[in-house]
Amino acid sequence: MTESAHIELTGVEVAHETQRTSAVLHSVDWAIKPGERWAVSGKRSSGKTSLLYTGAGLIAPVTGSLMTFGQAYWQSSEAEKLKLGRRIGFVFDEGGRLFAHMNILENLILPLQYHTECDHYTARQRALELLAWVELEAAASLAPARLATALRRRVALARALTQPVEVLFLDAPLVGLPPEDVQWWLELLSGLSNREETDGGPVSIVTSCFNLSAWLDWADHFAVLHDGYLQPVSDSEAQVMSGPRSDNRA
Amino acid sequence: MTQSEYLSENLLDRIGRRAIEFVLLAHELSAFAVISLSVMLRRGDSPRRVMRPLIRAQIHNAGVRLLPMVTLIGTALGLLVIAQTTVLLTRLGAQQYAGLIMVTVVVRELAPLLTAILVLARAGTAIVVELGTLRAFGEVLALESLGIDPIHYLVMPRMIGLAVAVFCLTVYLILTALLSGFLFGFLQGVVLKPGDYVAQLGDALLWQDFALLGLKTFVFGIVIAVVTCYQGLARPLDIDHVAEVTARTVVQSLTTCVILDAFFMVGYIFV
Repeated sequence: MTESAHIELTGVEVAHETQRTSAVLHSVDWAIKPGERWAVSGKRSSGKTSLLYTGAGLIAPVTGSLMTFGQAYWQSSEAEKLKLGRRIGFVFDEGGRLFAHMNILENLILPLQYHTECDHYTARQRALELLAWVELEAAASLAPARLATALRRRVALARALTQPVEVLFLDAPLVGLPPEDVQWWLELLSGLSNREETDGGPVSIVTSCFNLSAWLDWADHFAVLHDGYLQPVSDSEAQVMSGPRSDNRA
Repeated sequence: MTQSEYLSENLLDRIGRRAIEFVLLAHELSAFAVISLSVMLRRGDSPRRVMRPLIRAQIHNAGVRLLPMVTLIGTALGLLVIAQTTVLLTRLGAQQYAGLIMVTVVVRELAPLLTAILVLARAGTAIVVELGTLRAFGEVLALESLGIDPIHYLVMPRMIGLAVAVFCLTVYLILTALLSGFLFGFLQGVVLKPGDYVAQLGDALLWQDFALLGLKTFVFGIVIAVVTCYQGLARPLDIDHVAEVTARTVVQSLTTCVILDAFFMVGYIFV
């Protein structure tokens, strides 16, 4: 079963996102298989972001192994890491860490042109398609700072999908959103998860959150970060832990 | 333990700690330089549609925008060094050595080092703040998440841009200084025909001077780029530490350039 996992962490001590030599999570064994939808919950500073960074290969674990699409990621050459990394998308928290010195459209054109060497017109058309998909085509020429934080996160999602992504990590994407926006995100992510093969195939999605309530009907796998450990939980446990449905802190 | 013993031990501790820090820094900078150079040689300017505009922007920032300042400094250098020396040589009746002195002082030594200092002050310090801010706002990690190598995307254009800028500005500074020096000398009544002056310069210049000029300026540009990019990218830049990191970068770049300059001089003597 584990052979087919897109991402597999074995015996991983997850490093802190800024202090890379100290572990924030211990003995993590976690496999993300094709088409799975994960929701990982934890309190502030519980290590959610560090776990996602480690799974995406953005920070090296203190110890343990990360297998990405069947290859030992940190033992791979730089060129192989680059290839593997393009199959993993990441949507950062808050404003999505857009490049502040570029406008919204240029934020999408850069990764398209960097990897495919396509001409500016082709890259622009693809970027506009992606912006239309997140309903932000009209904001193409704006600087990121002129966009609300929640909308910047949408641009970050579109930017992540400029690459041939098979696994997508989203760091607390629903924080601070009104219910209609939460619904918008859930529907969009469901669409990605069920994507047709002709459009690039289904995407495995891992999202972090403070509370599982918004993700109960959407995710098919749940995990909780508690006392430095990753603990998978069943659907029923997730429902109990998330509390009343009205408590939507995402 | 007497007070003098305590002080001497404390002093030795500090010297030892500084020495270890220096060795560690030299090791990290060397490793960063090797990685950056290997990325530059391996990947070059590919993809051209993305990388070439970045390289052009760096040449513009570190080179073209410094032209007015270099013109001013070159003119002042001509006045201070060339005109004064020429007047003195004329009084002593040794005008025939004017070209030799100009080449030795300006071409070999002053111009490359002075240009490196100008580029470091104007463009190098800006790089530290720029890259430090990118790192602090998590944009470097965002680049990595998109499969874009920060060394290739951020460091390589700056290395090429600064190397080209230091070389071109040095040549421009030399030409400005030699021309302004001659004009100031002429205004002060020095009897030295333009043809004689150019002939003296031509006689004094050896092929080694051209090779040394090219090599030195290229290395100075790379050194400034490596040190400033390393300090900018090494850790997230806290707003409270901007001044301290920038000052440290200037000292490290300048020290490295001066040490390398001494090696170049020794090498030149033995070639």
